[in-house]
Amino acid sequence: MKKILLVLCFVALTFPLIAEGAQEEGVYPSKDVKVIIPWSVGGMTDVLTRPITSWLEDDLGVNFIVENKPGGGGVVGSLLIENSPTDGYTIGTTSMSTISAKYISPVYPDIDNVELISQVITIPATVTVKADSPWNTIEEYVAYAKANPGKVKNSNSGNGASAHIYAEIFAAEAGIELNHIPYPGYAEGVTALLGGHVDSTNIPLPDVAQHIESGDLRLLAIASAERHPDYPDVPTLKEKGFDIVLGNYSGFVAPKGMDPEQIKILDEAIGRCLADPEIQSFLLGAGYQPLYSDRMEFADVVNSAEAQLEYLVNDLGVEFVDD
Amino acid sequence: MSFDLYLQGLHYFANPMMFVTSFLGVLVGIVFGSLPGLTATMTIAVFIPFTFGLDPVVSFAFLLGLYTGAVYGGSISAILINIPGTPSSIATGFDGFPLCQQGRAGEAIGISTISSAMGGFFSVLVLCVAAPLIASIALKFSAEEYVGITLIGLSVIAIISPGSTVKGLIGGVLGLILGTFGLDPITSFPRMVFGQAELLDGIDSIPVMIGVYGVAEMFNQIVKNNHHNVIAQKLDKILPSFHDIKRLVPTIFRSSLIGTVIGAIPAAGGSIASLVAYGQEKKFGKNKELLGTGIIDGVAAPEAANNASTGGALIPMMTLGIPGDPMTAVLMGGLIIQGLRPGPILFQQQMPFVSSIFISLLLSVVFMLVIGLAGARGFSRLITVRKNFLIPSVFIFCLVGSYAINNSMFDVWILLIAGFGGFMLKQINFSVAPIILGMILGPLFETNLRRSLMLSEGNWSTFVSRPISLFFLILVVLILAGPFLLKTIRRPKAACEDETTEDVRI
Repeated sequence: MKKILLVLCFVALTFPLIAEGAQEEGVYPSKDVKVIIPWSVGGMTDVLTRPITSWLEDDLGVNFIVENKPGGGGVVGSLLIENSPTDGYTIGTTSMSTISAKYISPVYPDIDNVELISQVITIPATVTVKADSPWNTIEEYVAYAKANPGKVKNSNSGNGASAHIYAEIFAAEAGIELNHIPYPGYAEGVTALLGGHVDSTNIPLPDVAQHIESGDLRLLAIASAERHPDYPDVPTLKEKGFDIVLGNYSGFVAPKGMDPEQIKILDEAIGRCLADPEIQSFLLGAGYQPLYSDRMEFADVVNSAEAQLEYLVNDLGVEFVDD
Repeated sequence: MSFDLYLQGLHYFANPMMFVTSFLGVLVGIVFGSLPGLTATMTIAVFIPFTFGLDPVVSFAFLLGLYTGAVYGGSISAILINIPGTPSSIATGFDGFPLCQQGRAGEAIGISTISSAMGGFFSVLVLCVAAPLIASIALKFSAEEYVGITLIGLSVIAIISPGSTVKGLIGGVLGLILGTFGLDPITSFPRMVFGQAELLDGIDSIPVMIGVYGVAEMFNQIVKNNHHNVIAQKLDKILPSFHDIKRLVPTIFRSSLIGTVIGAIPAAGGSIASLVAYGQEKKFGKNKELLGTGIIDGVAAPEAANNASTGGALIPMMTLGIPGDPMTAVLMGGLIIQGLRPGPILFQQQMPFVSSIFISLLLSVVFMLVIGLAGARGFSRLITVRKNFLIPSVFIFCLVGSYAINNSMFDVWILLIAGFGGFMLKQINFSVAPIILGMILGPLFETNLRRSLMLSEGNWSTFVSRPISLFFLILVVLILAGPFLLKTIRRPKAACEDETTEDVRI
């Protein structure tokens, strides 16, 4: 046992030395790039980021060291990204919860404090019900909810979390009133629907997809701009007259003040990565919808998510936090 | 589902890599699990990146080995130095550590190994035969049923706490209070956050656990100043006698059943399973009055349960794509990275892979048995290491472990504060287990109570109108009022009966 401990200590001490190595200067990137993920190992963002960073390692010829900094629903890690050195060797990942945090948390990251690098996926919200529910179309569902205000139990991923935001925006647009039941995350919200404890959910496609395939859940509508390739028969909310495109995204960001040239190099590499059919098929297989937007287009995506949140809080008067 | 589907994976037995990685996984899992602060969840998280390049079948043999080994390994430190390696081994320390102080550490580890293996084996069998069925039952569990389960856990605190029940209950309440920090689980309102982003998720129970057990114990040892006082260990008896095993079979069977079922309920997990198993032993066991003083029954029950919960937790993960505990959540991420999405589709389309998982799990149980029994003597020798070497090493592991959970210095401060608090509590003979259990169970209870009321639109009768929920509530009443009821019933003939064995501690 003592020997094992000794060996472990030795490995722990020497590992950084081996990893550092000697690198040439001048070209970017010339040494290891740290990637901060504000969520835990094995989580959604972690799962989609790691194959991308390992592709980037081959492409750019340096190591991308993924560091998970979970806590506070992404707040802890996001603040850390904001405050990282701007030398180009620390980047991080972002999603909508980075901007929604300000409505919940006393301390929160500000999306204006980071530079956007590129978006890699989009995760469309859905209107999903149980397969044995009486509603076969989105029209039937909305009609029932209109006739029975507050009776439809809708599971979400926590008060103020993404699925709750989608539900509030959808309900406002459809003119219905839902009974929001918060669960700690997507998985628990879907479980509650599978068990018949709630009637519907707006949880995004990746988490309901395989239950739709297995026939346990029914997808009434999808909140993306266009129909999903895997579900060509399912209408978008837009087609049905609800003028909303809802969903989460995930992408890379850098601390404010990083050299635009370096950002461009990373952005272009990520663009090449997302064009690789192998990466695309991995992301699709894991339930994500690959969608590359460069640093300019990504800004539109983030702005529109910010606008949706502001609309919710200021115009609809939705309070994420009871006080 | 027909049984021959499961046979499709039999050819994996011809793959030597599977044996090698499974063995390695169990070995590494035991080492990491037994180090205070390195939890089973973290062990898996640390090693997942190493498996990216491997074949899914081989990589899962390794990860499931880690999983099984780490859950088992947590009990080794609980027995030897009274520091549970993972929350699910807290209950193992109740009797394991007293056994060690009697010089019977080897025997305790032997019993823990055999019971873990039997519990693990039981849950693999259940997983193979009845997974889809059990998953569909687990889905029936709504917030009301979780309220029942967590209440059982909370009421068990009252009956298991060694020493004074009042102190135990105070500890439980302290734990409940610690569990209220962070975002309100229903409204997301920040409670007792004091402007600290790190507190948004609340106080992690792991650094507190390592603090009140590990750091506090180290302080205690330093103050007691008996650095050279080493307990002599009898190491001739590792394998329990046939007589002992025969006597423990009912205990192990009951505990395995409890472990598998509670493990299969998403979000419940090994810590509640082992606690409930210990509680039932305290109620129904043959030697219930001796429990807590250092008897092997008290090691067998929680150990069978926490290893049975590993197979149980895989049931909802594999059949529904819903992780049963934090460890399976990480495993699920590993599966997805391999391009496999756990859930109903996996069972329909990837049956050979599913059966390879059953085989891996079975292999890891066998390796756990082999490594555990072969290593018991070596493990027990660990505490014969002089204290002036042991204390600093354990202390460093506590520090590193707490930092590593979230890569956060904040957790290290929590550890040190909890360590100091735990040390003070020890001075007044305060049991720390209820604090941790309150911390783990409190938030689960609160969230589900409030969620139930939201689902029923404020109607409290929902708890008694649902049969499973009602059943749990009746169990809670029986657990709490049982001793009183028994006493009342037996009173008339008590004159000629010896009543000293009755455990009345409410």
